[in-house]
Amino acid sequence: MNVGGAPASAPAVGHPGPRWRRPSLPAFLVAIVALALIAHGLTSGAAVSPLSLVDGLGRTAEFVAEAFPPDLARLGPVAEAMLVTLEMALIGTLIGVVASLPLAVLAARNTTPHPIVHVATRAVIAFLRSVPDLVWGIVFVVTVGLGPEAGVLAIAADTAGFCGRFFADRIEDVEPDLIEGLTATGATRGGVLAGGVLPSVLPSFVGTSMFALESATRSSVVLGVVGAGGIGIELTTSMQLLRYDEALTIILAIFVVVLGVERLAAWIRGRVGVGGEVAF
Amino acid sequence: MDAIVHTRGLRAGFRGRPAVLDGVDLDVRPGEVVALVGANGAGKSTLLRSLIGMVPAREGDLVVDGVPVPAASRGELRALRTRVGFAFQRFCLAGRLSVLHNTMHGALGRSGMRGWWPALAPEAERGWALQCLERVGLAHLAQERLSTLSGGQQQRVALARALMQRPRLLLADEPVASLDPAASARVMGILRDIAVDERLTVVVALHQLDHAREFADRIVGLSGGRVTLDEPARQIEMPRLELLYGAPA
Repeated sequence: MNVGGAPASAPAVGHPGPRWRRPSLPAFLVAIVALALIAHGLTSGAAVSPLSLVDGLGRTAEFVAEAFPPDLARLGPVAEAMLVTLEMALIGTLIGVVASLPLAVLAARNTTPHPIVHVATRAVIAFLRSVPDLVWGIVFVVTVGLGPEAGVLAIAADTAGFCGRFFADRIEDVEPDLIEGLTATGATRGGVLAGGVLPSVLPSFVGTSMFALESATRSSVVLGVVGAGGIGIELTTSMQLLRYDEALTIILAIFVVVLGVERLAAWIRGRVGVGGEVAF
Repeated sequence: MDAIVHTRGLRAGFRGRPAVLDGVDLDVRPGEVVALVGANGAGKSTLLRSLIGMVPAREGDLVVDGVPVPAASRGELRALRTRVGFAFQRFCLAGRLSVLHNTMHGALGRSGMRGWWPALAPEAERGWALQCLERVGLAHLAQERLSTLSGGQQQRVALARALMQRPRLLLADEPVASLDPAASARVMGILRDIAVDERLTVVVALHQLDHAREFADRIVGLSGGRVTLDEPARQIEMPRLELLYGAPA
């Protein structure tokens, strides 16, 4: 068959190679370990039983029946707790983002003052990231006591790890040409950073910070469960007292606030992601 | 010594690699326009970068604007760089930032952190940036994002940034290598006008031999990291220049 009018005597091209390739030993081992964990989980500790699912559906129906209509009698205190939750997320994110800026500059290969500082700062960021926000909440409840302050600090630590990593990666993506060009003008290290590198990555930083805010808003709801302030403690109390109608009011309030923050963050990301230079 | 650039037996190369310059002797007098020509790897870019200490000198004398570059401290090198404009082949600008912002980067060395953001910079610096852009015919695009400009326009912004430094010496490393003939002619014309009007010393690396003969007072040919030709541009014959590129005379 002469497809597309190619001459019948066209020179033969190289063999396309086998369709499938044998996986490398590390890839094979990773697949085996993952399959073994899934098999073990399904047959023991992490199993999902169809019977318990059916049973659970019945109890879910009971919960829904008792939760409707939502009880609006405590709307005032719920709104107040929700406001505290939102403030925890905002302040915690702000502290975390500010703390992550120097961390990122020290951690990025192209702006770090020394390779040892790069490795040490990356390790600090990895630690901040690898400890879950709920664990940070428990730690700060122990250190500063029950209440929103512990929640703010937990969110700040979590955000510093998240933003520190992505900010540093973004700084490393900055064109070496830009740094060379600014260095050639006689700019100091700080001048290169403040005048060229940071303005270039600012839109990306804003976008990442918005993702951090979304995550922090969800975290701030859960942190109340461990006593770190916010709406979480209200929800836990309502559930423990079997006041499901009140719990539904809280869940709906959480939904509205989280959705609102997500929409606002998406709008801000859209604003900085397109058009000209960010005007701040 | 009245030369603004003085080298004797200069050996230089990027760290961890063999020296590219193998004993360069060169004097450039104030106000002179010098074209460096030579094949790829001859040492043109290395020589230009070594003049501001961005490629370390390993042996020999190197004095630029009165500063012995190999012995200069970090602060002295920075001070020298504020007086030497540098236009790169790949522009070395920030694509996301505005034309004005990129131009104002030329003042970073002089005004330090005060000039890090155009909105916060002294009014005099903003005014000077606009004059520099006017000089290269781009003042009307000052607020545009740099990445929306053509290659020729971006190179003109790079020249404006260099002018922003109020330089005594302007170095340009193959500034028209990636431009089409019309944009090349425009950039070279602006460079020539700046050199004449400002009585600026210019050292420019070029592959375009016709540009070199038309633009420069003097042509310096490099081959194997050494100066193998150094004559007034008007006297030099094209076949002799082509020899530097391995073409038959």
